[in-house]
Amino acid sequence: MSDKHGGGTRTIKVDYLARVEGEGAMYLKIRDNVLEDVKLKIFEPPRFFEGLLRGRDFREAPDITSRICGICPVAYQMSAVHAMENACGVRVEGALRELRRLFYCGEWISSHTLHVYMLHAPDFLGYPSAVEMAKDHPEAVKRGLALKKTGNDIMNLMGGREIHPVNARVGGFYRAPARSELSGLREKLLHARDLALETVKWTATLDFPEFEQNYTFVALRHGDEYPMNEGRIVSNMGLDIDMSDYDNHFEEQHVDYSNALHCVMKPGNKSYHVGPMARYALNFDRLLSDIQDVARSAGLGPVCTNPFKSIIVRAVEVLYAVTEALRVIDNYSPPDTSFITVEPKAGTGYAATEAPRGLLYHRYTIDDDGIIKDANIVPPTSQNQKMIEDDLRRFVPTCMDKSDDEIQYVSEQAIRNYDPCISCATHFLKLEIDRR
Amino acid sequence: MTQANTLVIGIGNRYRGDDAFGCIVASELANMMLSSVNCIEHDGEPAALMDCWQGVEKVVLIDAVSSGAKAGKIFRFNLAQQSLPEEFNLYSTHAFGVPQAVELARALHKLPPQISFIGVEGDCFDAGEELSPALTKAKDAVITEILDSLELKENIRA
Repeated sequence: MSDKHGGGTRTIKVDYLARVEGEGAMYLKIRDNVLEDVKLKIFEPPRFFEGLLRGRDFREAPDITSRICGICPVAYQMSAVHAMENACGVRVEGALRELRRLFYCGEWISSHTLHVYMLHAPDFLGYPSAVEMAKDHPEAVKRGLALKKTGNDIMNLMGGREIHPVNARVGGFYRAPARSELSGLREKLLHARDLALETVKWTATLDFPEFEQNYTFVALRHGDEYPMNEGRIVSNMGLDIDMSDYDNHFEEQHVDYSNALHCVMKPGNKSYHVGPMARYALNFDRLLSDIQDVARSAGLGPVCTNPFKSIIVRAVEVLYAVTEALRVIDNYSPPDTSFITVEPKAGTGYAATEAPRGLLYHRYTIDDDGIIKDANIVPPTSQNQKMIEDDLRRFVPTCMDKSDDEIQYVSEQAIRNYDPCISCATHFLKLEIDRR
Repeated sequence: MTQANTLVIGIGNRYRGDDAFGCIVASELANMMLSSVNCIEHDGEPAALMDCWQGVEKVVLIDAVSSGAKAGKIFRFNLAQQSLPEEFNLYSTHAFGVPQAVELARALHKLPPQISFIGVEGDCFDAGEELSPALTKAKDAVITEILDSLELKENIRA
């Protein structure tokens, strides 16, 4: 077994990672104070969504895939509808496109705020949970709850309900809101903008370990807007591709210790980073100048390479989403119809949208009757899994003199930098450190 | 007797077998209680849950639980004085569910003065709209218990 910290084998096990979505574990193998192995084990059973989509009508994909995740169902719905519309040669524009963006804003606000306040902030402030944190920081937690509620309200209005919304469809929505309904959100969003601004300032006061990394960031980039539903897939290493080219540049691989596929970048099977930090780094110039100023005031440059500071980036994205939601509402003019009719057409459709945790890729092949013949879904956590392991390989050696409990604590924090969603990745955490 | 500031919240998912238990109980109570008590169905999302009981004097939460006990077993907690066991949190997102909503509200002094929880051990949480036999049986007992506790039996529709 382990000696104090001076060498030999140390075995640290986390059988079940807390404050992440789904079931997973982490294993660290340390020999004579050298980290030999890192495994992020996802043992939540695979759910075979791609398999059950085969044989279903193309219009069912948004409602089936939204069940993959209770935190980011809008992302699944949006990637699905865009992929099906791509297959059928249809583009949804105007007010319907704007409503989709508003819908996505709701999910970003709700999901990011849950992570910032309830899941990640306790790590920085030394609490085991948000409940314990709330006793000493009640105003912060109240602020988080109020902000999250605003995101929920948008999802409720646009989706019919906040969990597994039911209103999105291929071609638009089953029902488009009246202008008066959106106006009802305006006062809440104005208050939420103040709360979001306070959130950025608050996250900037947290203490962050020094851990700057040379990441390959991958995200969407759009001609003139911060990306949500559309754009080209780009990286900071020169990648710039259409969504239909995704499979030529990325590959899902099976690893024997995980029920979730690891997605790597070709050639060379390299890890890459998707999510708020990637979006921000690749699209800083797409943020409004006053939001850029807020980010700078919080100590962020145009690129953030310290994953622990992702909590600030998420807060900036919440501010962006609230501001964008207000823009959509103020400019809203109801569409003539809540959807455009999409006739099936044999072919393959591709789409990637920006889920709160990062790029979410869908590919479907359908026949002339609109029956799904093949489906492929690559969620952000699958893409970040190898990156999380790489972060741990670099971060754990910096704290080898710490106790096993401390290593476990900071390792879990490093994992939560990615707001991993294991349920998505199995379509994740237990920590096990084997130290000798 | 009117209980204008009383809220019965049935938590669950109508389409996941026994997880529908709380929703069904709340719905049946809503049909029985005239308008004297507000009965709602809720998906259990914590922020929304805390929001809906704000300013309410008396709250009854009903939910299906999965603790490993015999199906149909009824658990009762006075949440003003007790916490819910963590194992009642299996069916929630990001490990943030009803127990955390209750404890967060307690920490923030936003817990209603009177709040109770009636949980019934579920048998099957698979997709579907039917309650398992053990929960169908427990449903009537829970409804009667709530009516008794709210002293509303005399107001039930014939």
